[in-house]
Amino acid sequence: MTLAEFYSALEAMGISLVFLMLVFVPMEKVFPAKKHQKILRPKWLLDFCFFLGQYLLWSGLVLWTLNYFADYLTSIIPNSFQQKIASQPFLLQVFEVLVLSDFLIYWGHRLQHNVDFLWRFHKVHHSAEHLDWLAAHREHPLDSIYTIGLINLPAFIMGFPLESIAGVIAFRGIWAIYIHSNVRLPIGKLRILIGAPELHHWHHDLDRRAGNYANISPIMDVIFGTYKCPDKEPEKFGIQEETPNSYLGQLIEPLLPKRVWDRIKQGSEKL
Amino acid sequence: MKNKIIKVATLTLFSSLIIGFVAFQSGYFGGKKSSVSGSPNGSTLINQADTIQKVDSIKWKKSFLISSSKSFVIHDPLKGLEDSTKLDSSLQIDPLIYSSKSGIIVTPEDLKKMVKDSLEQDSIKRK
Ligand SMILES: [Zn+2]
Repeated sequence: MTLAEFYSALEAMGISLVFLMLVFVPMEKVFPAKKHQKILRPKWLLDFCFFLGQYLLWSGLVLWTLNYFADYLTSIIPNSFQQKIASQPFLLQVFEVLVLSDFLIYWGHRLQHNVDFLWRFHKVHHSAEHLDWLAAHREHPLDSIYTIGLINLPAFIMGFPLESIAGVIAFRGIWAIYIHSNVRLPIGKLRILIGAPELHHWHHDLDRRAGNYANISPIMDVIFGTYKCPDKEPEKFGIQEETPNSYLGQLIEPLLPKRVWDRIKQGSEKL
Repeated sequence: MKNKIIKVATLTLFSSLIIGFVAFQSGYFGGKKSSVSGSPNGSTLINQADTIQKVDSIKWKKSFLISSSKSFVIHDPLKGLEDSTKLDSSLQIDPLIYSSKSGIIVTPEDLKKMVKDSLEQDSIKRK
């Protein structure tokens, strides 16, 4: 990364930070899900490190990997297949891309909770004990590559230009942050179409297999029997495992075998 | 009563910002279209491709800043710059710099100067 690129990432980060605070802080104050949670609640700084890391350190790596992956896919998928897809009515293509993407992310996410190797990385996201818009950014970069890869896979395979539905993509992006926010706002039937914080908060329950794996529409959860919607908030968010308290620790711990990590931890405790 | 006003105001702010953001990302007010879905856990919001494609990123940032600051200028400063280049050949900026796909790196300072120039007057050429 050149200095100019870093500067530009810094600016994007600053703009996003101000924008996201404008969008979510008033909502969290006026319609709180947990009434006594402060804006600067415990561990906000750790989540802020993840936020900074996403913009300043990892976005380039994630995008590079994704490009690499997309190029590879283009090289193996027959052109005739993509042409056949392209000849379908546009709205049908949009429907296919969104449903396939939701389907993949549902099962991909369920696997993240059930397969230990994937959980190692995904548990970083779940280690947050206080949920809000900032906690949404707590995510291991390798976990990001996995989910962003899956979510874009149908579009890559179909050769569908996502920029033609950039508005939909943008909405899904900001809504994904919203469902983590400390907000409770009854939106009625719309919930089944776009999801809501009260559903995703249950996904962050201490129970690792609590359900609600879909992030936008909960339809996949309804179909596959993991939908959960009690009318109260979970008592506690987080995970049962012990997790590192520092940003660096959270990044490194999933990469190392458990005994190596334990040895490092013991060493640092002795110091 | 007061409570209700606060609630309505908050909801209005929330929905207008979201609508504005969606519109911006779909290419209104000169925003750059997002071509990749971010992580459903809420990853980097503003199109990540921009941090890689340097020149493009500068282009959208400019549009963002302009459309968000009080003036709602739906006028592309870069276009203005192109026009002024045509009129004034003494302008010493390589036209390649602002063709969006070229990989030449412009620092934000340069850009600010260019944008300012195209909006006000050509101070660069006086150097
Ligand atoms: Zn999860």
